[in-house]
Amino acid sequence: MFKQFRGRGARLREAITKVALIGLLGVPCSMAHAGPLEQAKRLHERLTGVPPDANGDALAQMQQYIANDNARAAAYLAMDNDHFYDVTLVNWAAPWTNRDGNVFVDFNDYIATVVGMVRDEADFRGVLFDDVIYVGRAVSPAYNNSDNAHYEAIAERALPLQTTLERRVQSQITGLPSEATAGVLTTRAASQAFFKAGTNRAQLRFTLMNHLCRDLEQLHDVTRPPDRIRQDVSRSPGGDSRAFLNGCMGCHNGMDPLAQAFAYYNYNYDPDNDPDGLNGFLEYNQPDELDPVTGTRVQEKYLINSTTFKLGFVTPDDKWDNYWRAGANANLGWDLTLPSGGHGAKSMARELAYSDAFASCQATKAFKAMCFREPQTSDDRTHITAMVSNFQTANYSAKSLFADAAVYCMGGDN
Amino acid sequence: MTMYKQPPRLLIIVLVLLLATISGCSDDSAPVNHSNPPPPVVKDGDIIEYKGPNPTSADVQRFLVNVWSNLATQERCGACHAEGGQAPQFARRDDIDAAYSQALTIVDLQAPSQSRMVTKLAAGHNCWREEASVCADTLTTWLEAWASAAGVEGNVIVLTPPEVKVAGSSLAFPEDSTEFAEHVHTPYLLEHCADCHSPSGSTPQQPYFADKSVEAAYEAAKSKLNLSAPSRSRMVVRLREESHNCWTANCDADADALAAAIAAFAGNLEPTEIDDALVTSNALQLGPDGLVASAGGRIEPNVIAKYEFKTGRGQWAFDTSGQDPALDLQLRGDVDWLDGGVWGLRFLGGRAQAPTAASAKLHKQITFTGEYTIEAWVAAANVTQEGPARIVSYSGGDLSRNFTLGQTLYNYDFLNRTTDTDLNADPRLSTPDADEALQATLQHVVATFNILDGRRIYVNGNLAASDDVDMLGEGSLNNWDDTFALVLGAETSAMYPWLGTLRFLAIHNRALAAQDVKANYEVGVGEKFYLLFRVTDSLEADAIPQGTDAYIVFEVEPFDSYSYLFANPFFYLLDPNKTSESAPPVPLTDIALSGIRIGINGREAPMGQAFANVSVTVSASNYVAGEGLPLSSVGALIPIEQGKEADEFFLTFDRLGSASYSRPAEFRPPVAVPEATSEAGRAADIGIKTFAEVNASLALMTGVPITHPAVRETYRKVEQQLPVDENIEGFLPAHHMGITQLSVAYCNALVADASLRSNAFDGFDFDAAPSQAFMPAGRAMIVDSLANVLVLTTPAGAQVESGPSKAMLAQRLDALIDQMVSCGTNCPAGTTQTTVTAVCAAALGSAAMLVQ
Repeated sequence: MFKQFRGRGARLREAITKVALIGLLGVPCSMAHAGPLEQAKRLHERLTGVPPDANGDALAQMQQYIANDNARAAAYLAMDNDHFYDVTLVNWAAPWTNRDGNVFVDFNDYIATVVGMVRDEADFRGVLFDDVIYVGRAVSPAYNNSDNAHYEAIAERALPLQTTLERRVQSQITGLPSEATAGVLTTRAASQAFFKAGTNRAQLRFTLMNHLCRDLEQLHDVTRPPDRIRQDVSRSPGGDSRAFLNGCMGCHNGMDPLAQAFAYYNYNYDPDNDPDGLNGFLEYNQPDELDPVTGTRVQEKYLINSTTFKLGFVTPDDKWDNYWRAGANANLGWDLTLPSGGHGAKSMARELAYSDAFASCQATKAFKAMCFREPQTSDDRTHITAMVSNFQTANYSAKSLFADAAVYCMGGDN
Repeated sequence: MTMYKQPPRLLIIVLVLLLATISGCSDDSAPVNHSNPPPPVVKDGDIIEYKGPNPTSADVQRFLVNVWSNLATQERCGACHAEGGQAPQFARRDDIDAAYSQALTIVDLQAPSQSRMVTKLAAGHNCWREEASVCADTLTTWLEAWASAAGVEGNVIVLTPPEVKVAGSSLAFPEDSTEFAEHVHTPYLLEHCADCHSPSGSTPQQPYFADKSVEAAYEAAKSKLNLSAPSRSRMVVRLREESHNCWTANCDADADALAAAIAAFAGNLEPTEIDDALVTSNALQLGPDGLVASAGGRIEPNVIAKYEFKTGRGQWAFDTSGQDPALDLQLRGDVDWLDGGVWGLRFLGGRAQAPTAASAKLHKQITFTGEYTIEAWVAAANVTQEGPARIVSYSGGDLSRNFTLGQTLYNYDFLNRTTDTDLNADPRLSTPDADEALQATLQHVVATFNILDGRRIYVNGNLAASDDVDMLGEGSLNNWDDTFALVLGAETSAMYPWLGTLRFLAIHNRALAAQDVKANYEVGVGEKFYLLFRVTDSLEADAIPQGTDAYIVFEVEPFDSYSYLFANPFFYLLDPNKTSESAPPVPLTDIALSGIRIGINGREAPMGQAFANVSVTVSASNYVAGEGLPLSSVGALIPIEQGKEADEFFLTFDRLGSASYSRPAEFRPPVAVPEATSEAGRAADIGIKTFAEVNASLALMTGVPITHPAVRETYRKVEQQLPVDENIEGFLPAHHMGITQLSVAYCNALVADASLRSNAFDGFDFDAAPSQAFMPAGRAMIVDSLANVLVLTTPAGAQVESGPSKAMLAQRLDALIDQMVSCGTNCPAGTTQTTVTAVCAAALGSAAMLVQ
């Protein structure tokens, strides 16, 4: 592969490569006997993605905390580093903001809101339903409902998010009614990704995947009543209703009554001239805004392909119900003090966020980010349980999760 | 919407479920025939001609044209039911009025298919075709044409109280899972399915019937087991018909083994009676108890070929249009009748083809009018076939046709040969790509042509494609070829097969108007029944008038070969003593009704219970006398178990009047705990930095900001070439090259910036020749500075020992410098800076930076 290089350039690259490979092979591969200093370095790198500043005193301070059996304090110290926000958290959240789970996406309001809520140690459950959004302080251009320029400017200038982001009331920034806001679900990025075209089921599916760590296959339960499955779902795919009864129905029977909460939302864009919706915006039908096709506040997309199965459910409003409170999916640990149904995205998202599955999922994601692997032993799983417990004790501050996970995986005899 | 009539002193209640507008049945105006005159009756060259007295009314004329002329031939009914023959003499040739009078005694124009004349034929009475049902259907078509001409736009459904039957016993799942574990779970599910259908599997997939917890597995398996018919169990069907992860090379054998295991499990069970605690209705069977809701209301006055595929067996699909000659289709190759008593053909690569001579009927009839319609109910097996895949074709080969209705992916294609197209009928008309009008589900598709309106394609009653306005009015059918054959499911050459199900096909020699297409779509396809579930016994005595019965009425149809469709339930009161003068009954008290579930063969169906959340209170205020109270607008699919003649249905209720059922809490499977990953399978304790971490680390180590233009440009180029995942085992040479490029960019920027480089390598002379610059002191400045940022040291002097040591790094970097400056005193200009860049990049791009 080096034949393409010529003369001095080739020698230079070959020399670089040799040193790199030698270095890679020469690194000890175990931290089993690492001391506080090595643990401090790893803790810092896991949390921030970068080593401690060679000229700073963070390493020594963290070493001291660890030596004093207070590794969580060391972790919190590392989380003061800008890179925890600019690198670790940004890349933690970025895949949630698009359908491909792609981390290479532009910085956006969804990511910013996740980062900000972690920074502020807010109740992280609110990420799904609070009237909240994070914007850049004094960053021009200002937030715009129809583009992402504000956030791209922050990224372009590499502004430190720890000091740049400020918490704002989402409804005041976007003009969405406060009762229609639902945390990151109603951000522009999530709208562009999950409310664009389609049937709005994507918003629910990706929320389940990203925040309850479950795709629909894992929630499949054919025993729930299918009375809320819309008309656009074929009951006899390819002429075989078994495919519906044993396949499609098992997901749609629970998904459709939940996704009904999004019935008034749509991502408005120009499919001809702006097929990616880069200049689109979230629209929401308020009480006096009736869709010309449905004649109600329900978006037209909820009634598409209505002849596929005429006897399917016709969505009249945004009433949602959680059919998964019973049956196998009761194991998601729903909060039984909340009503199992309601109207709109905010209360439905709260239903999701208050489940045990949500807390456990955040813990698992933080674990994966800090330990570079899924939980794989009973010790790991016991630790996840402890992380969830600490998460609750810390009023659902996500920093608690990162601290616990990073300490657990900092090596040595922690 | 509805109106009722009730014959006195008969235990019959009449419910008109569709608009029943009967007009023109008396001797009113002159006959107005809105349709094409039927073609002359041709049978073996004979044409029957009526030579008796003129009909005295318009309706007699309609009878003559639509029915008598088809029946009175010697080969059909004329041999027996003519004058002087056997009664009723509806085929007499001497007096059409008398024949008409006789016919009225055995004809029901409001429900032609239920006419005595039809049912007699269906029972095998002197049918002139190969199958009794073909004669019955053909006669139905003639009677419907008469009814249609007479203005009978709908049909009347007579709801009669069914026999009162108590729901039977069933094989119920035992509470104890021991037998399940012994016969099914341990030997088969755990053995062969646990890798996926278990929460601890490598790719967990619901349902978890192979869970290690037998209780959890048992619960999950129940909906996949059929104790009454083990071989119809879903998990057996998946093996046998879909080859779903068979554990041997022989899926049939695997399916047999699993079915035998389920049978062994079921064999030890005793049938159990329905739980007394359940609130139930009486029981019904579709065949014996279902009231036929005949599919009246179709618009087909000009039908010239019609296939309902009712026979369900044999090698021929019969044309029941009643338009001679019959254009019957011979089944060839892989084409099957649908199972479960559902009417239709499934094409799996084979075809159904008519003889060329008989197919000439199409040429004759269509070129006569210059317009036509192809109307079909189809369910494509997939949305990947193309060619177009031939659904219906009147053609002579792969490149020669009069018309074709085909499929290309999500589109229907309509090819129609005219004097403006080529012989292959191109250019074709297709539904727009973006609309994805064709879905792999049952659809009503209609293709029409006439010269003024051009070609049109309707899908489910809606116009899906049409010719451009500037193409209208051009191209006639004068170049059609009468030697072609009608063929379904493939080309006449057997090429371009279409995979899917055809439930109905009609060819008309007029272009159906949009409203007619819509009307035919609304009528639907296949047979429908009404099931009247009697619920009187669960009501309090004073809830309904004495002597009346309360029913939950469902519209039920075999949806496909595998499911029944239950739809449009309504609560209804029947008074068997009602007279035409008395008012229809209404509820006397409020009747609470909630949680309707459909029972089949003694147990509640395990899935598809779309009425489980119904909750209404029937009261005098919301119940419409004579019409009832609708309970739901959705439909429910219930899996067929033993076929429509054998399956027995009943309803259960959570609440019905004062009776209620306290449904026990559902089983909640224990939370599955995944198994620990084996020691060998565990991920490494260490990982590598990912793209943004590499970028940030290099920026930190060099002091060059990530916004530096050259660095940023390089980063953007290589960003997606850098590691995305921390997994060290996923590290690739491509990652390495990306890191190298980026570290070179950072080090270049560092060395090129006097301020930055003096911060990093304080005192090093970048302008000196290599031989001078890399003297021991200068060399140490470079090596030590790089080692310091890679191997961290505390102010107290402690060195992080989890990576390479400073000494080891220095040794490697020294060696590299030696290589780089081996030119001695003959080095090109710039070698010093290049060497520092190279050493810097090699050090910072190494594992010392990358591994964390």
